[in-house]
Amino acid sequence: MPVDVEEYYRRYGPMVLRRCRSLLKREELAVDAMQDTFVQVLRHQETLEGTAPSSLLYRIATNVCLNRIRTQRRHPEDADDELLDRIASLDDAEPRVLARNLIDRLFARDPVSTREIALLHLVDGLTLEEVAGEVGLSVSGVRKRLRPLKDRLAGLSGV
Amino acid sequence: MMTERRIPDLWLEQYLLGELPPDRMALVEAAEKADPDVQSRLEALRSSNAAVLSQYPSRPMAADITQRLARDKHEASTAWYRSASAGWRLPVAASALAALALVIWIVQGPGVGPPSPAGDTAKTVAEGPLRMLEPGTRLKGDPALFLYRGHLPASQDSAASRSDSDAGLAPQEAGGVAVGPASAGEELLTDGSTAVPGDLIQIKYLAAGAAYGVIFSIDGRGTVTLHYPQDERGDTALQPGPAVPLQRSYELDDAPGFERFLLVTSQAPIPVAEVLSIARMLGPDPVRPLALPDGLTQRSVLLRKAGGTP
Repeated sequence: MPVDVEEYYRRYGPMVLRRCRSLLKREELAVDAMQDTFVQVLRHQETLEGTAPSSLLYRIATNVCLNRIRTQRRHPEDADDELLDRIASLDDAEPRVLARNLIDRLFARDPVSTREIALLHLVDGLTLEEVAGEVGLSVSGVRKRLRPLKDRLAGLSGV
Repeated sequence: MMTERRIPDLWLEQYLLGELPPDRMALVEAAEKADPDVQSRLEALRSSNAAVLSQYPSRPMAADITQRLARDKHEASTAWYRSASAGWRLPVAASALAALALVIWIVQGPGVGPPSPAGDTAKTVAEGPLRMLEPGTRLKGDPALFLYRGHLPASQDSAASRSDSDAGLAPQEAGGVAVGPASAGEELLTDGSTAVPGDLIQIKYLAAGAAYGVIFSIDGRGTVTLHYPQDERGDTALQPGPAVPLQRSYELDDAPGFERFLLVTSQAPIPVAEVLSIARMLGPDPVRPLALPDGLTQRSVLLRKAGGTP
């Protein structure tokens, strides 16, 4: 059954927009990223039936925003959050060249983005166990992903 | 009573949505009763929910999302390379090889000299390698994209080399690169040229009658970087006349393989975010054209990267 977009937005839009605002800082970019998040999820709406999609929407919003930050990171005036900026610019360990679309990866249960793991742990403050639960990896898998990032993120507070 | 550690924002969001797993639901419920900080955060979320829906009412927002979704589906359905059929990999691979062969032919084909004066630029486009980049596109007089590798220090005055169309551009914002076409210290990078991380690239465009344009690049990691306008909400109007330099130069990073620069033009204002979204869906591909809606045309120039980090 098709998703009622208006109802879907009414229920999840504020959460998604808050997430985008917190990462992108600029209102117009956040609104655009929010819309993009819904578009990506609704493209696969047949898969959503019977699920509680808040976690999925939150993750997709996170990745949409990280991509936006990464896109803009070479414009110095936009880099006002160094940790976030560095996380956004991290190279994913998995073969991103094979990924055509983030949402396809998520629905296909393909490897999770290392940047997303870093953000959940270092910015959002989730424990390794909680990150593992969110992204569907083992704790050791999460730890393994984060280990090589220590040097690259060294010198920043909280890292 | 304070909770031992800060409850993640996502949990509070899911708590209000009733989508937390039972164990976490019980934890947040208890915290709401006992922890003033959690109470305050939950109250802020409830207020924010109302404020967001007031600021962005659901009906028009849902209409916007539905419209974007429809465009997205249309573009997906017309993008031959994203066919859902089981045998899609073969045509993609074959076509990619054919396109790659085309690029090799271009790179190894007859040499083309750099465009000299700006007034000759359109002629250069018609005769140069750009004409081979997007099969099926019109050649002579089309909009064009030029890349230069700049070497001038920031302090060098570039005013003498600027054309009339450069008026209003601040040379100090051009990243130290002279903004006139083929100026001393600049090296034209034709399609297929090799560049290295750290190279400073000056981008110029030739509108050739196109009223609006967007310029961006895709690197070997699939990262899309917007060059014009400066942000996704910026004005996409192009300046007419001779080749126009962008106000900022661009430093190549260590992404491997290539950096592909694209100019998308139209006679109507261009929705930048949507074009970038299409580019992101294309991913790190050095040759395939973007699956653009009708009314948009595209040009691309490929720089091959030496010394990138895989």
